[in-house]
Amino acid sequence: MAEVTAATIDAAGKETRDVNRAIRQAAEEGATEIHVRNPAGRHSFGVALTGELHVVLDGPTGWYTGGMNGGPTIVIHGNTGWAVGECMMSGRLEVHGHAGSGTAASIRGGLVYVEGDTGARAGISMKGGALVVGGSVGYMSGFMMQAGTIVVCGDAADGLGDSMYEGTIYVGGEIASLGADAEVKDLIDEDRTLLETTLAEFGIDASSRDFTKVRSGRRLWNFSAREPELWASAL
Amino acid sequence: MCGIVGVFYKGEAGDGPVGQVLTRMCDQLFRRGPDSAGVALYGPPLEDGLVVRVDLERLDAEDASAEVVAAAGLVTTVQGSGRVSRSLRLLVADDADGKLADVIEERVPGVRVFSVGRAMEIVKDLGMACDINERFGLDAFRGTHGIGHTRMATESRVDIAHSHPFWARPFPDIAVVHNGQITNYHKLRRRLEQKGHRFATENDSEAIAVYIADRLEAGGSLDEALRATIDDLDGTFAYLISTAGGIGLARDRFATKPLLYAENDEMVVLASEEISIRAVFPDPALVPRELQAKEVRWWLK
Repeated sequence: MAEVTAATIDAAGKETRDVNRAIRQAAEEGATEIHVRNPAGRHSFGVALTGELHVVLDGPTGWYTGGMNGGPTIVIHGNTGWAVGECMMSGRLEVHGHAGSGTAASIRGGLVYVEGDTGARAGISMKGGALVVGGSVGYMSGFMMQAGTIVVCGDAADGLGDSMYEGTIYVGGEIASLGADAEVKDLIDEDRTLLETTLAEFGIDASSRDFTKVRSGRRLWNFSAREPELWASAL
Repeated sequence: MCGIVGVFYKGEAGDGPVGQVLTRMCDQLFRRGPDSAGVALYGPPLEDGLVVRVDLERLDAEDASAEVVAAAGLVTTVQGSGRVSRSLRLLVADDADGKLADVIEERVPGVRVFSVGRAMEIVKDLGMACDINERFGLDAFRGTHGIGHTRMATESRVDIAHSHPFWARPFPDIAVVHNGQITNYHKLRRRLEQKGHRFATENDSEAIAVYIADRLEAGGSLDEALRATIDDLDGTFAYLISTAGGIGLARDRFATKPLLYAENDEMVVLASEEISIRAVFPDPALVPRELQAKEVRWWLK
């Protein structure tokens, strides 16, 4: 195993750009675990990083934290703002708090875990990867999702999975309402196994919840003049 | 984009450095709105009389002050006045007909009445909140609650009159700060004008304040008024409305504009972004939550 060398960066009084440069520099110098102190809800920390890197943000962060990454593990000890992990290619992002709207927007791969709740549009336009939410998700989560998996242990607000093309959403609590063309499907053994293994690493017992599976009804894939109501509601 | 903030100290006797807290919180959101900033500050309501805040958008502030005092004297008894920079503060006996602001503005061209209330004082200007704090000495203001705003103009021009907070003229003590665009503004304004209300600006946010004041005047509760805006306002919005008693808020059905609240036994803090809350209240036990689509909340004394 490679030796873990740690580095600590204090964000207080530093420009965001300088903090991100310091993270890169520490990584180039061989640090495999980098702590950022005093993020204080500021935006865009730990973005566009590649390689095997472990970045710990010791406090709440603002918007776009850990966006556009390929490879690193980002851990946030506190809340985070809008669009956490947006456009992530691979790697892992953990939020030990609540997240804002647009959580894991457009991710192509990797795993985003939120211990608490998220705002609206969690997993919007996901193109792969997984989003696991310990709490509840807001309005129109999974909107226009194209691939990947969303697991919500709590409730989902109105418009879940609206206009989703592909991918799967599992909800352990109540679904306020489904979005256009989102349909409830039967849970099969493969789903149960996936939920058990995915949630076990976060200490959540999948069998303690009655999960609902939601997928695309695929009726919006091709335009049909015979279903005007469906199209009126979708557009 | 705009930034909105609020603070509310709980309990009958709850108070704090509202002026300092709100301007510091606004400063953290300056990227959301560099055009102008402003606050509506609330102290304990005067038992007898009203506070009037007038902006003297003229170079001859001293002469303008005297003219404003004379104009106010036509409607009511002026009990006192003081001026810091361009902001004139009057203490008056009453405004029974709700005409005081109009009379002052008609009689003294180039000045604007920002607020009239038993508890509320609105101060706003172009630029950063920290500069406004310094210019008008807001650090000294202790109070029960208040709301603040940093503006990035989208729907109307950049000047002091079109800056937030907006007073629900002529209703004392009601003000709004808003992030978003009200797309049925003209229709809403026409409807309110048909009921006899007048507007001081061309800004869409002003209509939210007047809409809610109209409902409160008709005997509705703040809760009912806030809920009604979810359907009656079209467009995007996260707004805070303040009254002499407290603060209410609502978020549009699409959750387009950010708004967080954090609450403990002593107070409630509200802001567009957590960065604003953390700069003033770093206590990790105070955990902000994002409001959901269509969510309505209020805190009253």
